[in-house]
Amino acid sequence: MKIKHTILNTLCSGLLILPMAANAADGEVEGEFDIGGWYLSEDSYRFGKYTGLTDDGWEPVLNFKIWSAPDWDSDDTTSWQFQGWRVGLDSMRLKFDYANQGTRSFSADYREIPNFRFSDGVSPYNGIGSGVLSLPSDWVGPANGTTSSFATLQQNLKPVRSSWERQRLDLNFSQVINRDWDFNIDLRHEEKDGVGTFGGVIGNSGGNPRAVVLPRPIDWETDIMEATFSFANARYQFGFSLFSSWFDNGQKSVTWDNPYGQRSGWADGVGFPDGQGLYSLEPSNEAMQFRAYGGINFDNRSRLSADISVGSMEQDNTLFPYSVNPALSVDVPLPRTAMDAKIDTTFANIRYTARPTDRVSVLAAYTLDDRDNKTARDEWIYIGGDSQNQKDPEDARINLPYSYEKKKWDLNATWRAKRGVRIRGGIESSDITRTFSEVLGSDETRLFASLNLNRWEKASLSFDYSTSERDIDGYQGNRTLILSHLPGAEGPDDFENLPALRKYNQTDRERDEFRFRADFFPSTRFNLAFVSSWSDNDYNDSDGLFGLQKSEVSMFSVDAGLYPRDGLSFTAYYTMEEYDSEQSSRSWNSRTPGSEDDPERNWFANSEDDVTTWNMAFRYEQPGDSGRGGMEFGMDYTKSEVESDINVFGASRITATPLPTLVSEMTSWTIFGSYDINERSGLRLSYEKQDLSTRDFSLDNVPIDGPSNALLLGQSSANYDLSLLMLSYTHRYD
Amino acid sequence: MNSNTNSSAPFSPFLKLLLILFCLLLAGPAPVLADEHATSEAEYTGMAPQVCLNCHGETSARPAHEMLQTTMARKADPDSPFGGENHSCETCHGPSKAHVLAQGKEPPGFRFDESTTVEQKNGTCIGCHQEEGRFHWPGSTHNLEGVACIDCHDVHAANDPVMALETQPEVCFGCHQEQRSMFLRQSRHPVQTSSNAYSHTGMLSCTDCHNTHGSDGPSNLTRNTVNETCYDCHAEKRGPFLWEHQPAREDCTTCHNSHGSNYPNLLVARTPWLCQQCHAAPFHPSGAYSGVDVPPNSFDQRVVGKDCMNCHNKVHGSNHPSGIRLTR
Repeated sequence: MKIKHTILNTLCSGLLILPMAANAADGEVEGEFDIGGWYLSEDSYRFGKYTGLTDDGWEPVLNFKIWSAPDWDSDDTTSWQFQGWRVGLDSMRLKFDYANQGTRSFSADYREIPNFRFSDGVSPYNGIGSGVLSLPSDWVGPANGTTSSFATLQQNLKPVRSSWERQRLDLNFSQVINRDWDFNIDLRHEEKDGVGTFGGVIGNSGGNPRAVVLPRPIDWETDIMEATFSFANARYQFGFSLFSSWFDNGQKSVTWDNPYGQRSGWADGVGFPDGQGLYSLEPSNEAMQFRAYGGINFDNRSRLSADISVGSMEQDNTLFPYSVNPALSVDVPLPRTAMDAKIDTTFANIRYTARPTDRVSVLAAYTLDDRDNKTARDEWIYIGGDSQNQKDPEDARINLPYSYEKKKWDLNATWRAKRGVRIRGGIESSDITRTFSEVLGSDETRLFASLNLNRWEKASLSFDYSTSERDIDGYQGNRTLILSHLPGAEGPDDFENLPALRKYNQTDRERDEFRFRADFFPSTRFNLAFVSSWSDNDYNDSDGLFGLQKSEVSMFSVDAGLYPRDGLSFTAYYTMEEYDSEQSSRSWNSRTPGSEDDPERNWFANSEDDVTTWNMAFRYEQPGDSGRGGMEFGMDYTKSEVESDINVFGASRITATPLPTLVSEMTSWTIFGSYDINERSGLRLSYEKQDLSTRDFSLDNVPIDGPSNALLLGQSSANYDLSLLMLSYTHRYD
Repeated sequence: MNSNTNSSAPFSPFLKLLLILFCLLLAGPAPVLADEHATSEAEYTGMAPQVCLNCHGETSARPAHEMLQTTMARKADPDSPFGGENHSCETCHGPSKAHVLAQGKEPPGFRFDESTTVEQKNGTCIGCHQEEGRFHWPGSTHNLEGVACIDCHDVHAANDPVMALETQPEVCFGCHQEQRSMFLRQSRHPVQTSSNAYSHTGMLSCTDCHNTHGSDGPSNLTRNTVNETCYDCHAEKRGPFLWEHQPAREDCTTCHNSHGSNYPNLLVARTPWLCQQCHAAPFHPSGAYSGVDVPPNSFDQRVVGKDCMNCHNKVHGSNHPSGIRLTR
């Protein structure tokens, strides 16, 4: 939270020096302040998720804008503006801009972005929000017990709230070096603090892992710098830039006391009261990238450009020991004490565009995206979930520093067949090669065509269609299993995932997409637009394969606007979407010989999401007379409704029933108005009524000790029905 | 590609080729830039903007009075349309003496309506706006789709809506209805969806992630790749990690819908079924989870709470020496 104090101090100082800044510019200082309050009828973390309006009662409102700009025909080119939004709330924003037009400019933009997740969680742990979570002194965790055996759980529960806030400062400075050369530098400092959650598990396999969902601290700082020299004239444009990003995590880990008593499969000293777990938090890291780009306009009809970036992403954090539990025996030390992980990146794009005739334009482009992971491969004799003595060296696992290279070629042409008729078509061909993956290479070809008809005075139409096909070189499902073990430890026929599984991001795919849009504007007072789109993805080109089989998205939307007279408008839209997907798998286990080949264990999950979104609004504006009596009022109604059905069913050995429908329904009514008392003063009023109803089977009616082997936080899905009133007084001056 | 494999370094020759090409381009012969709008001074009014605002004032059907409050109108800036040797309104609208003398019955020198092509309209703007941010405009999605600068920009307005965080999304949603709907889902990035409801107040704008004027990356993203764009605000997920999760390293959108989703954490599908689209190992990863595993029937820890993430939290990668199963 250092940045917030710095910003507030700077703000106070800035307000003191504003009059001096005003004198430095010829333009008059003008300003507008909006002071008042918000009243929220009830507490709701979800309602104020991103605004900070979470607590019932009054919150102050302060919005302001102060600026100075020269008259257009003045000899002065200096202008500045200082603006504040929601000052006092957790979603405050302050922005200062200064420009000596044609010479230099500077801006500082400070944003607070909260994220209130939930406030109704509970946990027995002490130290919530810190990196050390301890159990209360009277905790009872009997051997071989489950969550129901925690006899002192209820009496030790403490509230858990999950929320965090970003405090972000963006600085920009631009200098015009001469007519063609510019220098620009962007700096960003962001702090993110708060409490998130994670699932901590102790145990390894064989049914002995026991989990507890826990709060975790978030203490992150990110700095970004990007400096660019650029040159641009009518013929040439080129430039160079340097980008750097540093991420620092102030908290490296969370340790927690194991609440579960000793159980079979765990080494001695793992269960309550001696055992602990350690969860590593995100490692600090950094990235840099150097970019060079250039373009040339050969004439008004053709252009060639190239853009190349080379960089790296790396981190060298000190590694944790295999286990935090001192009772566990570790004979073989870590192969390295610090990570020294690095990925080299190369990105290049070359593009040629031309207009050989007035009616035809063409584009040819090539893109390369290469991620070369330089991280060393080592042998790690790991300890599963802080629960066992170190395994034998032959059970070591080897990390898989994944790399890829993507190439893409584009060729397309646009033909303006006649006035208002544009036909476009083209082909995109791409391929990807990977390491340490089930599929080492695949290619995809996409063909597309579009027709735009804009030749009528009162209507326009457009159609877009594309089809693509991704083909893989071969799918070896156990490749990563074999490569992550010592040579020979896993045979060529061994597998972990079912051999018939196909991961959807790597397997064959056929995709067809269609989009249609029609706009009608029979008069300047009325417009109407229809949009419909459809996307269909078919995975796997043969039967008997598992994984995602099909996904389909369809959408229809209509927008309308009616403007009966100046200052009066009615607008509305309705959007309907449907998302369907089908997946399959087979429930199997190594204790049941042959289960991996048993089709009676096949299961299927069909998912369907229906989404409807409504909005209706009207607005009336009445200009005042000499700044007095002007008014504006209106209404806004928004409804977003989503129902998700997941139907799981299977063959004879599968017991499955459809899942309860996931529901989220948000309805929001807002009426608003403003009135100008005189040219300097005005009143603003807004009333919003909003209700949210959600149902989620993973949260609702699930006690914290509901699952026998996982202690949860017990929060429910979000529901509220509340009102927000805003009243403010506006003062303008110049 | 990874030096741990037998693959060569195929980009090196390509890189050299590009550099050579780049140098050749810089050294190439000077082009003759055709002046398609060659005109004589006599065709200009010489009295803009005052004479223009006589008819295009605040109460007119086509008001342009706020133009004088924009940075385009700066007489002291020689690069401004209103500065130096430029011709004020006629810098963009072309010499319009005949238009003025005919009291509007004759068209201005250049019209931003259906009588001119998108390329002609945009050429007027791009003639001055060649900055770095518009380097990729030729051949960009919006360019190829025939979008005109004035389709998004209100250049006469004192405060162009598309340039402000709060009002920009509404401009974009005019064509991108799916995204408008997505930003109203329960899991979403905080982009403003309603101009009047405070609960929908925007903290981010579309251009925080997209360069609408074109870019190197997919979907006009501000960085070269999806992941590089996401790392700007989610640098903790950049790694590199000891134990990588391949789809997370390759493309965040394999699992996330960046605009909004009905599922937690912007996921494209509900977990555990999303995870099971790629994981079918023995025992619990391949199990069939259904209505029998949730209330009121039971509380299976693979489906309730954080489901898979009750144990396997490190879905973006783990840096713990014992984190191979992404639990540490």
